[in-house]
Amino acid sequence: MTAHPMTPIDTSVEDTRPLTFRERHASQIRQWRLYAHMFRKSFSSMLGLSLVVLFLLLAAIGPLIVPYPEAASGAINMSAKLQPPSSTYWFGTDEMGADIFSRVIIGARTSLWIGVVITGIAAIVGITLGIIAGYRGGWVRAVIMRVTELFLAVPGLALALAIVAALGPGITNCVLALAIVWWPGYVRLVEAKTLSIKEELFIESARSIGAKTPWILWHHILPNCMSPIIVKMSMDMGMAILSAASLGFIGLGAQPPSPEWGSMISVARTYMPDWWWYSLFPGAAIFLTVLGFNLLGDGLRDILDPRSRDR
Amino acid sequence: MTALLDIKNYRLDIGTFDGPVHVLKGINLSVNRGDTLGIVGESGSGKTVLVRSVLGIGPRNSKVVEGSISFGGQDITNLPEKDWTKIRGIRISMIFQDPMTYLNPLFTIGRQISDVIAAHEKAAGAGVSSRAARRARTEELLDQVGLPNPSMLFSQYPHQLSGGMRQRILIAMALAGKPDILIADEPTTALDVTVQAQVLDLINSLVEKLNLTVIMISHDIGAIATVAKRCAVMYKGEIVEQGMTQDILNRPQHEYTQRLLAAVPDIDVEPERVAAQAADAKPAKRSNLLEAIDLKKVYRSQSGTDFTAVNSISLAVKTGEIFGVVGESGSGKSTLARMLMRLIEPTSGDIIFDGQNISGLSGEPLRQMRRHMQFVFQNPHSALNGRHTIGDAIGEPLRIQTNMSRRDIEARAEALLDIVQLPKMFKYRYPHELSGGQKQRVCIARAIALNPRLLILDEPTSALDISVQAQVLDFLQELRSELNLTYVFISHNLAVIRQICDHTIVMKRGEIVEQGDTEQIFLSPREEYTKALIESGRKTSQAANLQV
Repeated sequence: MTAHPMTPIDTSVEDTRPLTFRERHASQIRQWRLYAHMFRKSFSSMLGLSLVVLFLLLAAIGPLIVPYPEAASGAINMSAKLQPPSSTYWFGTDEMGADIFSRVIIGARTSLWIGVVITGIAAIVGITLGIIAGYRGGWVRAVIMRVTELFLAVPGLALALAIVAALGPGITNCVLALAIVWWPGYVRLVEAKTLSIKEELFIESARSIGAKTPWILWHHILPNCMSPIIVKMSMDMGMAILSAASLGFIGLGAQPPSPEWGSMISVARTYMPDWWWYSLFPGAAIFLTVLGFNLLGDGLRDILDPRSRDR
Repeated sequence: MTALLDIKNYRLDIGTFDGPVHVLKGINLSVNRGDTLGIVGESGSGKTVLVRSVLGIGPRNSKVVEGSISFGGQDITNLPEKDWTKIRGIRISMIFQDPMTYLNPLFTIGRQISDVIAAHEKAAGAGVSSRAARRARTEELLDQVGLPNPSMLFSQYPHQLSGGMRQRILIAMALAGKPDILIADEPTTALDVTVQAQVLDLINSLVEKLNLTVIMISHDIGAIATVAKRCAVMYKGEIVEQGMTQDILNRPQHEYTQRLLAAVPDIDVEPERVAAQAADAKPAKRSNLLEAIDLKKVYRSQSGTDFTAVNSISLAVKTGEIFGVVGESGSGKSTLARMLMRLIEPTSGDIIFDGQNISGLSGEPLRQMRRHMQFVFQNPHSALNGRHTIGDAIGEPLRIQTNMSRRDIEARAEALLDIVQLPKMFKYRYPHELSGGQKQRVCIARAIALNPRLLILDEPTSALDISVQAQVLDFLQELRSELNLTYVFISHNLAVIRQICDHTIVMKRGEIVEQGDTEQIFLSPREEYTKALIESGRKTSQAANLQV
């Protein structure tokens, strides 16, 4: 449309004084303010952001603020076992008499670590392969994409289960196994994006000034792929935490007494329904964290979508 | 008699993050039955928004601040969507700029027009007529817009037709509802020169035959003058001047109109530049900077048939000259340009740059060679990476090809911005914040960053407004004498070619039809094709219309 509102640029500033930070970065500042403005308008995005911020905060300072820090390391206090929620034990206690509130909060750090490592490894592997497949084409692409499809053909969790079973249970193996099955999604995403970006004129323009392939990939293609990658990573954080909890639940992930939400529920399920608080609170923690990351991802997608760039 | 369409003091704002933008400011316009009105203006002047408002399809987030639009005595300013269906396409129709994208590739031409007829009958409340009746009506419409063999066309698909034919089909579709007003939004912009003239003729004949009321928008004053008796000039959301087209062309009142008219390159004016250049050009024989020998590019389609995009082209570009390549779309001129730079591998043939055969180069020598020849692309909007600042974009060739320190590169980028006459602070800006002309200057700055000897310019001005085009052309010529450059200048616009090129080749279907001195080609074309090309160019030229 011809009525594209153009941001007026003030060209009157032409004296020689060095520009202030604000003037030099006026464009970025405006862009970030626009993002903030759009993000704030959506209730669900803000809810997601609050949940994620709360989760990160707990992961950062959790062990310092909990009332019973020793609960995380498997301290036994049989005199207070399976107490219902009260003012002393907010979320009640478990069968060893450990405070569930403390354990849930300390578990946030474990979950964050799991989420970051899984999505991080998956993204690095997936982006590298995807960008190479998309840009090179030919047999390189064929090989990468067929292998990717091979991984996608097997349900991720089932494959991860097999890998953990082979490596032996434990949180490190669990994270490793999930990372191994997680990258194919990124390959698909980045390959598709690269295929469309490499036809853009600015790629040809870069080639015409003599840019080498790594330069083009790093400076031109990658930055333009970033929006969907950020969105996917945000959503995957939640899913990775959920998957790790699932493995923990069937006993292949973190081993008790380490305060991991999935393995807590795994033990707690034998105490259902009479001692309901034992499984409810770790479950709620998983639920809220996954919900938070998903809502945040949705919100990010809304503001990073190129169709909303014009506003 | 009251006006058919009456726009009174119409003001429209679009709400954006930075506050409302006043897109239309107090528009007063009235169109009587049988009028042909042209609206001229640059991109961003609000002309498309204006006619879209007449159809009730204004931009999102827009708000009418003041004023009204009435059509046939009825106020349609804030008409509910339900009532629009009785007006849109039936009493007011529109044809759009790009005929390639407005037809659905999955359906036959006949089906698409019949569906429009059926929709109109439904909207009018009457029952839908039979398939055969609609077919007859469709063929009648196709015949009306001058398409040969309507019964065969009926079952053809859009991809089987040329751009000009598709535009005729869109016109037929727009006429299906027997509209009172036909709005044409840049109907010829996406078409070749020869086809442009035909489509404009068609609109003219329809106006006569059907007593149609036409509102045509264009940035091309020549096209407006061919069709419209009355004309309005829009600038920054206002109508700065309106009246009879002849009067406006001959005696422009407003300062903007005068500027606009002065900027239109004229195909029939012998450029003064030639004389000026001839004086300072060295009389000694100049050597060839770039030579192409028997260059050929054959594309093989998946079905195995060969398509020859460029066929055995040989050319020689002398040091310091502007070498023009002219041709219609599909003539292979862009392919040729990209081959000269080895952005596309030629199927066969040699490219000799400054005495060195570069067609066999690869890897590092090829990268080194690219310092000396640079490319300026047609569309500056997509030739810049939206994620890089202007400073990064200009500095990029330096970062890739030299070992200069970051600070030196910054300084050089500022100097380059200065050369292309942009303020230094632009280096912190992003491409989407700049206008088209500014972006093209940035592209040029980027191209000259490495002090190349040859610039290949692929339609550098065709995505720009006319007044901007004039500036960029002037600027290119200044730059050439300052930096001692040689240009290969590709264009479909004959007037531009005549204005700046020393030597020209005319291309058609991948072959050179005619070549020689530019003036000679324009004054005494030898080939039929060149004559036809120049004739159509002349038809939409402003000067021709002034003489009517």
